[in-house]
Amino acid sequence: MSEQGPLLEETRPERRLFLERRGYTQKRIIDGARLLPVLGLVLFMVPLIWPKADEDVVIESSTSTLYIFAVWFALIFVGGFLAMRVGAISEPQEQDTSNDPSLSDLDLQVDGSE
Amino acid sequence: MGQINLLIFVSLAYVLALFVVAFMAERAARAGRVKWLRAPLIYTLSLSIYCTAWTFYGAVGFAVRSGLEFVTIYLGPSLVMLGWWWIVRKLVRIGRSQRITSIADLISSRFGKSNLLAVGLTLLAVIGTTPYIALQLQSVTQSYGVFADASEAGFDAYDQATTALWVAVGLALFTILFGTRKLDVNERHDGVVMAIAVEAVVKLVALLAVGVFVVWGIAGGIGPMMAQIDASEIGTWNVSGGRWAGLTFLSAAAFLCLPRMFHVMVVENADESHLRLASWAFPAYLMLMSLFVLPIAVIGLELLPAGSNPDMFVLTVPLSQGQNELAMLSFLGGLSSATSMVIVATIALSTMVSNHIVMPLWLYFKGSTASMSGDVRYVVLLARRVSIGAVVMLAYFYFNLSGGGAALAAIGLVSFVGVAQALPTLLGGIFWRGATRTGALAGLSIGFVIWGYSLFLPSLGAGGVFSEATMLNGPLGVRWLAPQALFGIKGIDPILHSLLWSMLLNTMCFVLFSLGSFPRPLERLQGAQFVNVFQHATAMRGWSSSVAQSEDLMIMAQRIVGAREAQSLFRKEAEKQGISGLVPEPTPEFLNVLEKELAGSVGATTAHAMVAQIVGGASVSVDDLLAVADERAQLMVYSNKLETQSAELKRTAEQLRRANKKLTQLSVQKDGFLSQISHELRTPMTSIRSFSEILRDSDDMAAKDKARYAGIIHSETLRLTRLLDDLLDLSVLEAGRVSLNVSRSSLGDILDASLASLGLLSGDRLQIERQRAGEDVMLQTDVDRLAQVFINIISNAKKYCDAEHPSLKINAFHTESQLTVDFIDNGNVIEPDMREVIFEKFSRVGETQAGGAGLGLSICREITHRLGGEIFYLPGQGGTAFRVQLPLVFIPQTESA
Repeated sequence: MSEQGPLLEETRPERRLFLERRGYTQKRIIDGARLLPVLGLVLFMVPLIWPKADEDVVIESSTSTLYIFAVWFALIFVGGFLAMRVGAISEPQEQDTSNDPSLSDLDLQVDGSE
Repeated sequence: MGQINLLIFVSLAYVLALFVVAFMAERAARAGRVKWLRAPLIYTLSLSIYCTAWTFYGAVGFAVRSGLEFVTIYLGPSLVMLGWWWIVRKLVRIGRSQRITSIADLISSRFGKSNLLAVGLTLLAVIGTTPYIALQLQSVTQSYGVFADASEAGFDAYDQATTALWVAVGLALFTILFGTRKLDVNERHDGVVMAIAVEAVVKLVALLAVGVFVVWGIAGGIGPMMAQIDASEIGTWNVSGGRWAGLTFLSAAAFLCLPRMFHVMVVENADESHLRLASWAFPAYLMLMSLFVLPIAVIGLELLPAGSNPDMFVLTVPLSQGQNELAMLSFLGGLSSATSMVIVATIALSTMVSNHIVMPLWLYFKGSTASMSGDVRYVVLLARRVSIGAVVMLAYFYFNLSGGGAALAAIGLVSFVGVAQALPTLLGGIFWRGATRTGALAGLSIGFVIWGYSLFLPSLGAGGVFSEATMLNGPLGVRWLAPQALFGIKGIDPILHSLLWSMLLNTMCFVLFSLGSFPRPLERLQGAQFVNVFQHATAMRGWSSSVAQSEDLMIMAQRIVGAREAQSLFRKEAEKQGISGLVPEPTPEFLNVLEKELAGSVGATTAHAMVAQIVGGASVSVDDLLAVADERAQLMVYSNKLETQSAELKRTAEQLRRANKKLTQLSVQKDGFLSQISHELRTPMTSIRSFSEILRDSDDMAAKDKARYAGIIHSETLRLTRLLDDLLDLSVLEAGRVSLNVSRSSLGDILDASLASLGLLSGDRLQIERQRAGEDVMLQTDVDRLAQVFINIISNAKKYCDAEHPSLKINAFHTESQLTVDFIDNGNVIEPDMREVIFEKFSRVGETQAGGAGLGLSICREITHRLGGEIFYLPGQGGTAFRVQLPLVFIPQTESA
């Protein structure tokens, strides 16, 4: 990222390449939590390609409403499930998440580590 | 008359109830019962201040005008919360670890605690938020007006301006009372948060109640409702793609950047784990808030006369059906939305104003006497109270000036675009270490200017700031600069137009100026801490260990966080340093802790300035920064050293192990040698003794026998002597104490001499085959010793060659520096496993009928080694073969071994 990067990185504790089952599962849950908003964005942007009222085919408001709210509900449901799982699994470490390598920000090492 | 009085009574009772809730919550918090006050659910509900009166009433109006497009205002925040793992979690972590008090604080503190940035952002926030507060006042006033109109035509108590004023004063009082009761080190307001959580429930229940009434009470169920929606004038999908995507993005950006949202989301957050519930429960809240918007809009369009204000459908639809109680509930919902927004927004703004504008000014004018007298807490609280009053009154005047109406209704999105200008800086600051203060200033400035020029000023109404001609043709007729058609492209939706250009240029400037500038040390330090907030559990130090006066710091801290709090903090820190008493050493670590503690009360920038005033000078120099890096580097060097040392230890241990093994082997060899030698000595001794005893004891022995026995004794004595000579020779050779007598001679001569001493020059059983040509080489070496080697080898051949016609080939050849002599007989080959040991002492091949002691080859090996060469068994020659290699010129080694 910047010129100090390597220096700081090297002093960090080594990250393990492979994790035990629990850690692995948690990472996948977090992957899910990261991907969910992307999926949501794509689904919510589907209306961009819907035909508008002045074209031959019209989409009734009841249909569009149903689509939007169904997607919304599904996202909330999955989001709730993921949030609960993140909590259930990481509960013992919750006090100090700083030493959980998977919690680090955008860093791609984490994404690529499994 | 009765209706309006009841409304006033209910409103007052409701406000009073809120006061009680807030008061009880404060008391509970002070008593330490914070567990349920700071529950995840309360946090989630407090986020609902996103839904203001503008969304409570306005969403229906929005739906009437543009159909389903209204939902974008909720979709953006939903996505942001569902993606909590990306941004919100990091913001909260940074906010907690850095004691952030506002979004301006966060950004200024990220970019080297720059006060210029903080002031700019504070102004942006005030300009962006004041119209929005005015909008809330308008909503409350309008909704009040709806009731006044409904109750009695021409009721003179209904006066827009007066109502708005009362509402404004009431809100300001409430906020001052609960928002600035104390100067909290964590900037948490339990009373306020509790009150807005209650209001969140009220507005949700109110909207749901109206929605349920509309769907099941009027339309007659979900099926008929859907049919009615499709039959209405907003019954088909007619949303512009640009606005759909643009508004979703805008609402998401505003959700992160709105000062009030930042306040409840980050500053009031008591526990990071609360995000887990909020991540899905808040989107669910938003979904419920928007669930009945379309039905209410459609029913309102159908039931109410054309030209009715669609923004008030939430009230007017129940009223038109005679549902006064429901309308009352709905009014309370709207009131809740408005009040909670105003309260939190003014708290957030006043914090920014007092921390970033008033305190720096106060510090500047007080100058170096800052640590002398007076209670800073009083100054801070007063500054906040005044700011709250000023902001609310500013909004009131704005409301009065604009005269309410549609012009104000449009301000919601305008305000969103304004605050969204902080987004590139905010995200760049927490994800990109290369972002610099210069970049942030450039991006924010250009974004702010474009927003003001293309959206905010035009929104004040045609003919207001810009004339019609300017709007159409640009200033001075420069079409490219027409406020709402920049670059000459006309016809874009004004909101989208401004959003696109401001965000685009804002981000571009931010990135370009960041790339082109070099950050100051403090910026780099802060940047690393913010971006890597999840990796650094402990903060890096921000202060150089100069001579800060602990007592001065104490005086200052007492005045900011209060005497008791300051003393307990100092005592704790002193304990940590192992000092008894109240005054810890002003170490960089302590200064860091203190600064963060102060930052919770007066903001990072001011706290930094105050500590700097006492500590003196710049807090971080490049040297300090390098020192931090050096410490890490030293640690690395040290650990490397350790690693080297341990490797060295390992090597030494390995060497010791090898030496030990060798010693053990030597000891075994020595034992073997001793038993061997005693055996070798004993055998001739035994025969000498027994034959000498026979000679001594038998008087009548034949002379022949006597001579025979004496001969045996003599030969055995000779054998003993030879053995002892050999042993002596070997020990001398092995000890390296042999003195070599170097002279020059040709190989042929040496071989001749060797053969002669063995009596083999002619007519012996053993045939010697020599190649004279190869022997014609001069050697400079110990000739006698070399002859000894040759004699040994040849005599071995003579003794052991068991061929019918034994013969020995002697081949010699040489390179420039080295001589090689091969001795090859035609006898039996030595077994491979014996080839290793024939050079060991006392090793003999086969039976010992020839009577050698087995030292010959050992001596040969020692001599050749001494002469700088070697001797080894040469396999694959059809008989026993030895090769002797020697340097042509012997160079004496000056070894000490």
